[in-house]
Amino acid sequence: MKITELNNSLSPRQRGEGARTLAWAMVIGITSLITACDPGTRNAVEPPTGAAAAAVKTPDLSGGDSSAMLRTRVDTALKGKVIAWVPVALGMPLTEIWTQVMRAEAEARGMKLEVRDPNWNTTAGLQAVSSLISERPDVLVVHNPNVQLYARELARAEAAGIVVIQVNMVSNHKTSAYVGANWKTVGRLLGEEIVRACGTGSGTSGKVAIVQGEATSGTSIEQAQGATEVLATDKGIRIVSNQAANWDASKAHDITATVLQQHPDLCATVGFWGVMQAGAAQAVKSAGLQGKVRVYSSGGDGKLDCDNVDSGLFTKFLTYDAPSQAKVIVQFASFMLQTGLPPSSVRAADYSRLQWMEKGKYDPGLCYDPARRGAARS
Amino acid sequence: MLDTLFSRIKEALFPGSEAVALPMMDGALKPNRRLDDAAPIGAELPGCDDVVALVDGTVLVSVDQRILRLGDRSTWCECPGTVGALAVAADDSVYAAIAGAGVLRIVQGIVTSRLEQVDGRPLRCVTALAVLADGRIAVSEGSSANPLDDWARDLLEHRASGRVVVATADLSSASTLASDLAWPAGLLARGNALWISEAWRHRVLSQPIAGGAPIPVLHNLPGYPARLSADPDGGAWLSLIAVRTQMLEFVLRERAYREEMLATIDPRYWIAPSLRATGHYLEPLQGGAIKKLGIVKPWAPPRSYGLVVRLNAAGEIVDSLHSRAGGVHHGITATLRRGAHVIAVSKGAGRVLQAIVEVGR
Amino acid sequence: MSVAATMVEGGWLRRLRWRISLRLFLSELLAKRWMEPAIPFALMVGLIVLFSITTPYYATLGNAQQLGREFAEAGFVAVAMALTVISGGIDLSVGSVFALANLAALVFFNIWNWPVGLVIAATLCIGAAVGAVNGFLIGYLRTRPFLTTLVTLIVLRASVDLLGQHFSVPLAMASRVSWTWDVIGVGWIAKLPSNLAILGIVAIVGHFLLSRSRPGWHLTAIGSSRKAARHAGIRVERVLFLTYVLSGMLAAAGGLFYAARLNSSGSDTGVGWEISALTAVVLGGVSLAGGRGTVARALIGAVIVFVLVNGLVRMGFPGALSSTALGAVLLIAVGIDVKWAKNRGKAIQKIYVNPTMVELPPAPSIAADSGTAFAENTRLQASEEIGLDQVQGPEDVILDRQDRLYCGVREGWILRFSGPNFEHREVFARIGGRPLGMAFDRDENLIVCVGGMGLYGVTPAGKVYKCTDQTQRSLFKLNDDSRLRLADDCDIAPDGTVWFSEATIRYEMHSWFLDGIEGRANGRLIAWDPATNKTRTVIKDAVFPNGVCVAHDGRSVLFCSSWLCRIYRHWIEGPKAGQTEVFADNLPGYPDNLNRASDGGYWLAMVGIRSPTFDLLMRHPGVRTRMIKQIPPDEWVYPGINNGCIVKFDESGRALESMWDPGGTKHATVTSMREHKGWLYIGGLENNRIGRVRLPDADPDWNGYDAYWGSARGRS
Repeated sequence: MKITELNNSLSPRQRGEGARTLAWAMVIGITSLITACDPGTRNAVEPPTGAAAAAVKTPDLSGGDSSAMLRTRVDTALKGKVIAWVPVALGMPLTEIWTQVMRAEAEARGMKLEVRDPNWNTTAGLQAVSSLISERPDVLVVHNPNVQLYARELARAEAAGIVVIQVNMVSNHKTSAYVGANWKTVGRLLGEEIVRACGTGSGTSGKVAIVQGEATSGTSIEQAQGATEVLATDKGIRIVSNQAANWDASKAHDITATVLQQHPDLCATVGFWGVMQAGAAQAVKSAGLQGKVRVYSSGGDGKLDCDNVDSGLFTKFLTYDAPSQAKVIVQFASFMLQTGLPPSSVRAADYSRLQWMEKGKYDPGLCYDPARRGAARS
Repeated sequence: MLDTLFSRIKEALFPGSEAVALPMMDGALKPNRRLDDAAPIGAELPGCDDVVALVDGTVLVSVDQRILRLGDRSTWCECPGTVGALAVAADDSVYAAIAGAGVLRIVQGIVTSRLEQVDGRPLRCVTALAVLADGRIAVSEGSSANPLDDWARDLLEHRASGRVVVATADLSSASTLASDLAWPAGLLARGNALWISEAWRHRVLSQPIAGGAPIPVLHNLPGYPARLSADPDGGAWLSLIAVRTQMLEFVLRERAYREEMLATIDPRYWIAPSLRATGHYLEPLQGGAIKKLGIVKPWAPPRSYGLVVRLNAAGEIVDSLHSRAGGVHHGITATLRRGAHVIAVSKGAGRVLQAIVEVGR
Repeated sequence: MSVAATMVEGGWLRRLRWRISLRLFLSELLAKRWMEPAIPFALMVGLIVLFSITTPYYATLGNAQQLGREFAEAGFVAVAMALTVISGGIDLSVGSVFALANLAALVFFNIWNWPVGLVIAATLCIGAAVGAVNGFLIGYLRTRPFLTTLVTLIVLRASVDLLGQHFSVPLAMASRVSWTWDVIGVGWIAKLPSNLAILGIVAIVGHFLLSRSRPGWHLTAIGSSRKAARHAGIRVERVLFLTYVLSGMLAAAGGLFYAARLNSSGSDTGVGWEISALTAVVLGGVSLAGGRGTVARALIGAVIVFVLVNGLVRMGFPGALSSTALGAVLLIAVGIDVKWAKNRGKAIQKIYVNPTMVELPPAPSIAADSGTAFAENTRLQASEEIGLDQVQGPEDVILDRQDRLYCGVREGWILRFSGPNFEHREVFARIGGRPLGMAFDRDENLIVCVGGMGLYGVTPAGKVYKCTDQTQRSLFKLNDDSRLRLADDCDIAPDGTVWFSEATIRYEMHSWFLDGIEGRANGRLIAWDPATNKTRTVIKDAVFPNGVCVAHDGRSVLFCSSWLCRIYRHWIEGPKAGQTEVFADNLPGYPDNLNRASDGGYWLAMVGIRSPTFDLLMRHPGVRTRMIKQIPPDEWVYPGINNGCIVKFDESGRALESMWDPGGTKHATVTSMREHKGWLYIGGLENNRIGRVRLPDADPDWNGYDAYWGSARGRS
């Protein structure tokens, strides 16, 4: 509402009062703007390496090197330490596997795992992360819904001395460690597989549909970049659809169903997460094109992926073995806690080993079943 | 079914929201002035109670200790006590109830026999009589606890100690047909059944004469039903001695208050229905009855009321005659259809009235 | 000073049980306007305290600042929603406007590299534009707000998804740094998170705009009733249009801050925020029916929702459960809103009346043959009628030195009858309210107690002026008792002070009987000094003080306490000045007006006779409580006011004689009488006439004015 208009509709007395109030508000506003502005966390962000790294002190290890002493040192460094863990959501194999394995590994080392479940709600996720920072866990493991959302909070966490490990989905703010797939490679591998199957000389239409995850997620972006780069190398390949299904199977299903209507001669569809791409595979199946349209995906959902490959939903599947990732996270946390290195002094990554799965041709050890493990645990 | 369930739940959640709903005076019960407009027959007859017609057409009225001929007011029979209910048998013998002293059989104006107790209990509070098709006689006793005149106390005490008995025509023997009734105040023989108006439960029951469970004919009446009389068309006339008011229903729910009232206050000034309103300043005054600009509104909550209801053969209400607050023809205790008129006894006003029966109803 | 102390006999415990009433406190509390946000406010504080106790590190400055920062954006959206809800509509598109603004701001800033100022302006414009579309459709084309904004929600959400995909890669890579942008996003203004500080400013401005400015009133009026607002000349279309524009801008402001804080364009940004905002708004006590609510309340609700959801997340509740919890809260809040809006008045009414125990000793006999001064007779029935059917409810009557008769009537007028047989009727003054007790002052001004208005005066020329309409407010009373609610009767002391009674401070003229049902000490005796124009409450806690009469010697004031059937004498001069004593006790009826008699005694109008059932009711407060709850007023039991009775007392308070109209055939509900030159004039609250009866033994020259001000005094 415009101020002049407000003034016009007020009685003279009110107008006088209103004017005075407004004047005061302006004075206060301007004064506070000039005097009280402070651009926030910029000064809280510590420079990642360089000077800080040089200042890192090696822990004092003098005084004997007996096994008993090592054990004591490790125990004091780990016992009772808290690893806080914020996935984008629980209730899917990938995050359940991580949670289960991390918990088992952490507890085996005397640490405790605390889980917050934002249930796909980025606002809740953000709140979970910021509240965790004020609760000061020793290690914070985050699964970023996108590259920006937690960036500032992660910087704040490191500044507060919390070791931050990012899993699979990376943030624009890099922290002590990233554990997860090298997505560009994942994209490339998927792309190469498609070129092999649909490229020039394959005798197919060469039409490819890409089902992205959340468009702002690093995972999705990098896979898409890797895949499209490779696909672009083959003149016979045409990307007929490149849409984001936001990690949602039903959305992937709908997108793919539409694409299949327009392009029944589709050669391949590739998705960036197994659970989501299963929706696309279902669309292919319902269209009666199973076997004709190739379905590719990457993922790490254990048993679910095995089943989908076995049932022929997926033509080929690239897995990054989630249980191993969880183990690496805990190992890295253990390392950081033992060494006592300032979080910002380390910028490490562990890129997961990638393995192809094909019907009848995969390591059964990849089929981790969180439901059965969960049942066995309780 | 579902409605009942929901209203139960609602009542449980918000008690009092479904406070006992009094039936509306609407439809066939829509108030009118027809009792006020009814012409009094002759002079006032203070104490008049019941009215019957002999086989030859002579109309008899019970007044205090006498039974009078309505026409010339001559005494037809002098009785040993206050006469209340009357009934005429096919052989022209008359049965009369005596307050506190049972039932008499009067033949040609002479008392021939007497019924004073039934099943070992004295018959003191006879409210109505009816002659059955087989010649036997049905007798209703309002209460075994209170005398006739204390009917208001009986109501306020929540009594249900009335009974209906059936006696042989010569009154030599009698047996109980129904008991534990809340002031049965009217009887009407209907073939194999006997209609009983149960005043304090605001209903009329149809009781099989052979025995068995009664079937309700009318329920949740807006007043306290009393005597019934037959209509030649197969229907019946029901007089109601007073109407229910929300205040009265409220007092009936308030035990402590009611008991203290019964114990400490003069019965004339109770919150209770009455046959006749005096407008006395010591009587409870209800908000709607406050005199405004010199008048009392006719729709004020009535302490006394005149109401006669006409029923069809199925027992449905088809017509009604009223005398509202501000009127005087209140406390109707008996009715008798005579051709184009219905005779109504207003005990409250001490008058016998003659109202026009509207045809086509 | 309190007369109430003597009001109830009987066991002190029982008496205490009925004297102290929590319900009374509660009912007056609930009637307060500020009570409506008080409950959400208490809930908010309670939640914060709860989480402070149960959650580690919750009650720290850092956490509070962090929470404030996260809350602010939701706060903007809640205020946006609140405005539209108050206008009687709803804006479901706030969540998607928020998302669109977020995306737009990010694109403007990160990709197109606009200056921050331009980014802000452009983003707000986008919000305003969406709001304008909504506002145009709803305000001018009169589409339904729910459906209209639902469509906007869907359309915008789809657009955000499409645009988001388009810009996702460059946005993910963007890394523009700007000092201003950081101030907005993560900076501080006066030690507050910047977004929270701006929200605070917006809230304060919005609050005053809504509750203290004309456009705000217009908005509320439209929300209450669009039709009535139109009839009142409010430009409904324009106000609605601007409301939605404002709503869009506020939601966009939220999105802007969100963008600056997080630089994140996730696809679920703002999803479901309209539901959170709606929950917040309703929870804060903004009525979904429109017309009721403030910005502050919306924010209180938003804080509750935020703290609740945040707390659940913190406590590690599964995400789905917190969504369910939010849904349940919305359901409950809407349920309460509907119930409350509909039943608040009823609820207050139900518990407002708080009967207490009033135990009166058995009444003295009034039977015709009792031989007491109160014995029933028919002397009033011999009255002559004045103005029959020309007056409606002459509560009080008075005559002036020219033998003209005045009475206050239901229409709010003072009527004057003159001529030898009072056949000439004229409207002497139109005051309004309900004119009750009257008295002539020394200058022959007619001083009138006006129910609902206060104490007024009428000059001999008929000009109305206000004497007083307020007295000092008493401390510790919830009910604002500074205004005069029901000034009842007055009289004037020799020094010119007007002594008047205020029958009750809890009820209005039309519900006077509820005060009787209650039987509490709700009334006051007040004195107004015309010389200083000061009003002071002399006696508070009087039980329905009614008639007031200054004693013949001018040294004391008599006043009646109707429900206690008692007359008091309050000394205003001499050794007992300031003391109150009982003048006459245990009357057989309810005393009303009290006036001087020519023989040195006093006339008392007995408005009703104590009936046994009503006396019993007064001893059973619980029964009265249920009575007024369960049955309609027309069915309630009243004392016997269909009766006329006037009693004369001597100076010692002894009853001398009485005059009756049993059953009130001519004079029911007699509330006043005046002796004048050998006649007694009779007024009645509900009557259609004034009556007069000859007083054979009275001084035929005695009149009120001379008795007060002396016959020697000429006209001034």
